[in-house]
Amino acid sequence: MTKKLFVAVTLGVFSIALIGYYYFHQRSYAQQYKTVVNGFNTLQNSYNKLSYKILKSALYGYSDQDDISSGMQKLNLDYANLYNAPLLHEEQYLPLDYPLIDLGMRVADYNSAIEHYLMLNAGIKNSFVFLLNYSETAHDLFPNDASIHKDINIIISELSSMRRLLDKDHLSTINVHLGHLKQFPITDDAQKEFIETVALHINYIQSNFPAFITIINTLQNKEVEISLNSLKEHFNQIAQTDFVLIDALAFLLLFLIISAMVVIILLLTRSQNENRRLKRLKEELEYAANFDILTGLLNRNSLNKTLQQHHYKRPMFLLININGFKHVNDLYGAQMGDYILQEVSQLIKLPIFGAYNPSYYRLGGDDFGVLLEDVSDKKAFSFSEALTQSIKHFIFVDNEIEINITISIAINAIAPLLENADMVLKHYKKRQAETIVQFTPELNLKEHIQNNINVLQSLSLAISEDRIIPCFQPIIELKSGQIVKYEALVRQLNPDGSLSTPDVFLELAAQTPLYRELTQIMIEKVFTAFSDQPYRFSINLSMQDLLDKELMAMLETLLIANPESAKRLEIELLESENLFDIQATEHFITLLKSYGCRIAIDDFGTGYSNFFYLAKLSIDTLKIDGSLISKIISDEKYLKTVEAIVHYAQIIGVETVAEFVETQEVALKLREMGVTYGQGYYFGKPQRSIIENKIIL
Amino acid sequence: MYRFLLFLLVFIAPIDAIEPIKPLPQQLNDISLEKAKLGRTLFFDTTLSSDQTISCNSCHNFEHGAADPRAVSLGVEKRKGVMQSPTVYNSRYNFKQFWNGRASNLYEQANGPLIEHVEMNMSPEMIEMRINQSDYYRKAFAALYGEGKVTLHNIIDAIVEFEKALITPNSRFDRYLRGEITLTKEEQMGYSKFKSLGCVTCHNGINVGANTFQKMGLIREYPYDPKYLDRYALTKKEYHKNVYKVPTLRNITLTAPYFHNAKAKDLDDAIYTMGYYNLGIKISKQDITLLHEFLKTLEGERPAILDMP
Repeated sequence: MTKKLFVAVTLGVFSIALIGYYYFHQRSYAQQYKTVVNGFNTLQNSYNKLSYKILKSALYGYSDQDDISSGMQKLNLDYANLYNAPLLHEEQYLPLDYPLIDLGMRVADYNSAIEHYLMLNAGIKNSFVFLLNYSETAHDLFPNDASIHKDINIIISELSSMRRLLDKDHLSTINVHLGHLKQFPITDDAQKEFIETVALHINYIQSNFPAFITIINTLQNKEVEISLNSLKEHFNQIAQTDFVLIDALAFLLLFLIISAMVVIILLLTRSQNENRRLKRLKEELEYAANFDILTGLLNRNSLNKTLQQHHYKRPMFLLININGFKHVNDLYGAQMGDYILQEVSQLIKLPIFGAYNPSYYRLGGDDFGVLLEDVSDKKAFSFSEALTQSIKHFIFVDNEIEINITISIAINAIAPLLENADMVLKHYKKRQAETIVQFTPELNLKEHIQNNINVLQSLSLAISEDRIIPCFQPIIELKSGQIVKYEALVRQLNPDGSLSTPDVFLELAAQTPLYRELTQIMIEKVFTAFSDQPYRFSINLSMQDLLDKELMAMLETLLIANPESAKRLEIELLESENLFDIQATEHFITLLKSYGCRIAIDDFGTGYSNFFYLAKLSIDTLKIDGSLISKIISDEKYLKTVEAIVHYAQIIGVETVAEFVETQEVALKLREMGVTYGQGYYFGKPQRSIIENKIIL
Repeated sequence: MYRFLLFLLVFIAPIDAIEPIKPLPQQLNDISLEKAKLGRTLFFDTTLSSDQTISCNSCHNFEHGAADPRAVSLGVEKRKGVMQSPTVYNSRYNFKQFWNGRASNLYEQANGPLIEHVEMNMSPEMIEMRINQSDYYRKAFAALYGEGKVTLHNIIDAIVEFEKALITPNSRFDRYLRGEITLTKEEQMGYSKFKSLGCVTCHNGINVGANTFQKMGLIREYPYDPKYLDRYALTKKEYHKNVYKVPTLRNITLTAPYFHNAKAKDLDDAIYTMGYYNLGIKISKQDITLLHEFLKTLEGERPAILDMP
């Protein structure tokens, strides 16, 4: 940029300097050129005038020769002026020196020829005048002699012709008659003198006529004109080169000016473009600072600003979240997700909001916000209801895929508007997929959240202090009443010696990296505990664990290192409501079975597990959910249900484990029903150490 | 172009050619009087000759038609010149200066006699030295030409300015030409003879001559004497022998003797000689008288500059 500017400025300055030079050079040259051309013309003109004056003097008896002498002076002066023209003495005009000097010589020759001509012309003219006058005298002197008159007349006539025709041939004729004249017998002195005088003049004309003709011819040669024309031609040839140079300079100048202009235009255009780009960028940045790019709604930043700057009278905030939006993205791709976000951003603009000074926000992810003014709680609820209905019934169509979504809304009129709404929405959404909730201070959500934070901090500390320990609950073979295996359960050992069960921390930990650590610690510790025990043992793994490749690799390493223990390991797969990757599960089962492990389905009968899984997967054991077991005595339906499960398990050849066995009555009933194993307080609570083998039932 | 010239010749030129002689102007308006007066002082100043005996006026004497009544002029130390001194009157109208026209203007001419050995015998340095020694001249030149040393150029310039003022207007003939008076019968007849005999062929124009060169002895050969400075002395062309500038006939009655060699002691003699050699005729006594009468009418007024304070 700077470089180009420099170039433009340099070009500009150079052009101006060149313009100056060009102007003065051109002007001085033009003046000098004009001087020379004027010199030519003046000289030519003077020459023409002088020629005319000479012609005039030839024709008239009297002529004022001042005219001619001044003409000659003029011619000399013109030549001197031409000769002194400065241009002709410039170096490139040196070749003109010779033609110029030649012209000077021609002018001088011409002038001396004129002088000579005037001398001769005067004499010849006078002699003619004399002869014409004397022919009259002849009549007086020779009254009776016709022949002398005839001779004189012939001589005069011949002389006239000769003068007119400039032809010397007449001289011979004249001589004949002059001879007659001279031989004429004279009678007196007067006659003698007459004839002598006539002869004198005739002789004068005769003897000077050749020179006269020569001088006339010289004057007619136009040598001045020829020399002048040759000089002019020479001059013009050289001047042509000078003009070509001047032209070239003009073109160079034009080129420079155009170049400078082009550079300036380029610079201007570029700077304009740059400005435009910067302006656009600024606008984009400003836009991005306040708007959400995808939906065009205001963003979170805007919401904060609006809340700070505008003092809303009774602001009401609706926080809207799309239920299961993560699934939409996972199942249909981000494009569908974006489409839905864009549609929702428009759908939330209910016409009815118009009366309440609404503003609409996308707060990130699948969270939207509507800020209204002066809306009662009741109205807010009814608006939210309308909004959920409207979205529920809206069919989103993208790439011929039709889907429906639902939303949850948190209503909040208490500052901080967004944080409170967010808190209440997160709190309730865990339980209900589709909901409209309102934040109230009575919810103690803050305390709840603080509690969660405390739990995680405590857990983190426990991990770092190696206070995560496995407890082992015995599992009894009902037929024999003997402990055949243990279920390893995770516990957090608190500094006061108490134990926290996983229901306190596991759900929270599952959303943090602590979860993997927990599982790792458990697996390692359990393997260690059972390495020198004869019992089978089971570990709980969730779907989240199965999908954790690093964890799986660690497990496989352990299995390879402890092939003996591996054969006694049973994995209890926990049901998961959000995820059930059948493929990953199949893969996992195949892998573990190759090491001799067994697979159990935990909490069977209450969750989402179904017969399909049982058919599809190679399951070894079903753990019947404790909520069913505890009621088999009191409720016939539960009994039948359990019977059906057990029967089904027997048919497909799968062992069963009953949980929550708390009384002998239940234990006996289960044995009677043919349940393979029992587990519960009746047989033993989870203990930090493995209890010795003893008969319990 | 030539047709046009022919047209001019036939219809316009004759009007132009009615009289071959033109009157002198009655007044000059191209003269700086102050310079001319300074030139006048110089013209009369013998300081300008080596022995301080000669001034311009010594040989161009205003009591004798601004010419020299002697056959040859005497320069410094009585050195004799060769040519008869011509008049300085109306010399601005001479097409060339000197008998043989070797100077093309008055400025060039003035240089000649100042340096000429047999005339004033000075050198440019001497002239400047003499003039610069004079308080009068230094002041006078400073006033007219600016401060500083008086240069030869400015000295000659002042003399030329004076010479240019030396015109003799209002001669009877000029007044006749202007239609103010009529000539006497003799004068008129003399003028007619002047034209018809052919004198006017060479003696024409404003100065009645002095506008061409002509050969002394055009029709009849005039004795040639190489001591005279003719055109031949300048050009060495054979046909230039005995060729001189045609002299002016204005004030001719005042400037005897006549011709370059002063061979004609009086005007009638000069008229006869001219007729004999240059016109190839023997002019009769009667015609000479008539011509003389006419030539007298060419005598003009004494130049005003001579009598100015």
